[in-house]
Amino acid sequence: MTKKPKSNQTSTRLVICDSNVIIMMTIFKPSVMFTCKYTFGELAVHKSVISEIEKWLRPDSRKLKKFGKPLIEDALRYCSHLETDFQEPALAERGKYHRIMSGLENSLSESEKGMPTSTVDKDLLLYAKKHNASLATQEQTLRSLGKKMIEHHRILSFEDLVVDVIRQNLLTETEVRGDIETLTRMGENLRNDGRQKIETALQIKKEPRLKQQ
Amino acid sequence: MLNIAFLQSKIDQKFSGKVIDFAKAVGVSKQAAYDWLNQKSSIEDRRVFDIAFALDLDEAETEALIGVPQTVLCFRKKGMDSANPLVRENSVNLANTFFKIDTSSYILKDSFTFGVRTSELSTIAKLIRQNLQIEGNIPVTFKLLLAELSRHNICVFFIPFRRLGLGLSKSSNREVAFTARKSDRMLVFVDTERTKDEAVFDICHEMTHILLGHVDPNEEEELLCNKSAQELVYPKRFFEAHPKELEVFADTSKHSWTRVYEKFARLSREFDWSPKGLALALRDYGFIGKASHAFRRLLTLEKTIAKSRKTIDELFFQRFDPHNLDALEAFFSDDIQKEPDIFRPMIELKDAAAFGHLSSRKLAEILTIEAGDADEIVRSWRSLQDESQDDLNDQKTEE
Repeated sequence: MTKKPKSNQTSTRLVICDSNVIIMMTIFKPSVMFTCKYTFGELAVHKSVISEIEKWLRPDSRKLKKFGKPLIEDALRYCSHLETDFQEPALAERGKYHRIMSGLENSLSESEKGMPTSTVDKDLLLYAKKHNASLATQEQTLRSLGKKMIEHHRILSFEDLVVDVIRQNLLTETEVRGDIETLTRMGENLRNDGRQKIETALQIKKEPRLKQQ
Repeated sequence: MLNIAFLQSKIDQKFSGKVIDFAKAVGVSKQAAYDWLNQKSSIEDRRVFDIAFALDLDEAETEALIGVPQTVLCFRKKGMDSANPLVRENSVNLANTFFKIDTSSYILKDSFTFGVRTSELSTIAKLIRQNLQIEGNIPVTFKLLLAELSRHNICVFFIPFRRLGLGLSKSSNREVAFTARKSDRMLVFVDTERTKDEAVFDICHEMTHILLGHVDPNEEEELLCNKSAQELVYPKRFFEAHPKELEVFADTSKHSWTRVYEKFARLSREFDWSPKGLALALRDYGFIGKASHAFRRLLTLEKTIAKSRKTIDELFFQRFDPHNLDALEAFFSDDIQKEPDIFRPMIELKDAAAFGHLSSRKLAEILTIEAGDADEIVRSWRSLQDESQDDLNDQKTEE
């Protein structure tokens, strides 16, 4: 069922998830990651991301080879509950957003260089901008361009979501470390700065059991 | 740093100069907007989007606001009519992708003359030869051209136009090359469905556009570029200086068909010529008649050898197949290492994606493959990059 953001967009806090974040959450600890209440807002998935994941089930898909059918189907099942109706902007407005974003891609600093993005990339940023939402993505280019459009703290990563879960005492250090290992085994490595954030969060919360009874 | 004069002019246009209305549309106070315009405070990055949106700017205007010059394209199309809008849009998109990947690349060297105003063919050819430092009247060849252009920082990017949506129909009236210019940065794109002799002609044609600073060339300018390309690839004075080379083709009574065939085969090993190109040049220079036997014989030769002439696609891009991911991966891991001059755009795309300067989805869009597949391919490139970096570090430690 498709969720609708509440009428007062500014008070509805959403976290729009990219496909790479969805799959990492599915591998990591789906029972917690897909159900908990994040301090950043409610998880939301756009149909373009779902359709992207659906294409991973194509017989010759590289993602199918890597993750296998059950995991991808799990990911689709989890995000079907999060599918959100973002009230698509009119074609002209969408085009206007896209053209401005294309122009902005040139304004990245020399160290970032220019970072060309695709139409889906731009759509995700557009929804984040329009709905005053956060965007959770591992894609460096999206993160850089996103910071040109919305406040830096609204550009999130999978690791930010894990840190939130740790802070809420929903996982133990052992669980976190075990699941990070699973991610690594599946070829889903954490971002360096994200790994550091998780380490710091784990340091603050002490072993052995973090979950509040 | 935003272009404040441009910003002010757009506020005048859209809000009749009323800063308060502009501030309201952007979502800031009137004072904040005045501070921006008076350069008392800098504009936050994320506000640039809001400003562009409030002012209803398009991509080019957004670039003007942030001080980035516009991309100008100049097409070479078989059939001469202007480029299809969709092809134009996709071409700008592709050119901008490369300009964005590395904002400091492809800057034309000072020694390269461009923006000259002349229609004198010999002057044009002479200036292009000077630019390329190709001495005398020797025919410009593929290898020589690429080497000289590379010295001047002009990259020729061979791209499978049709497979990447830059060529629409199978009709012969289609785009075969274009030049993209962004201020002093320049890129020449050539379709891989061209043979080497056609490509060298296309590039010389584009060099003329660059030299003459054409923006939206008319038919007359297109014809001038063709003439200039002919003069560079089949120089009149080369024929005048080598009458014996010419005689075989011009005097049909003395030389047999086999002799013509052999002579052409020898010449085409040295120069990137086609029988048709040679026939047209000899006819235009008045060495053979318009409907002469010599002219027709060369056109017959063109048809005879047509099947054996390979396109750049057939020579180098066999494994560039978006429908076959294994072949595509092999293309990117092995083939592109072999001919860096031919595969430069592919090398740049691969490096940009591997170093995180190009989104996987954008790569997917360019290569017309699925985003998930592109993502996995990019990850494999990244891990190879990391491994080679580790090897390098180990080597340093050992030393």
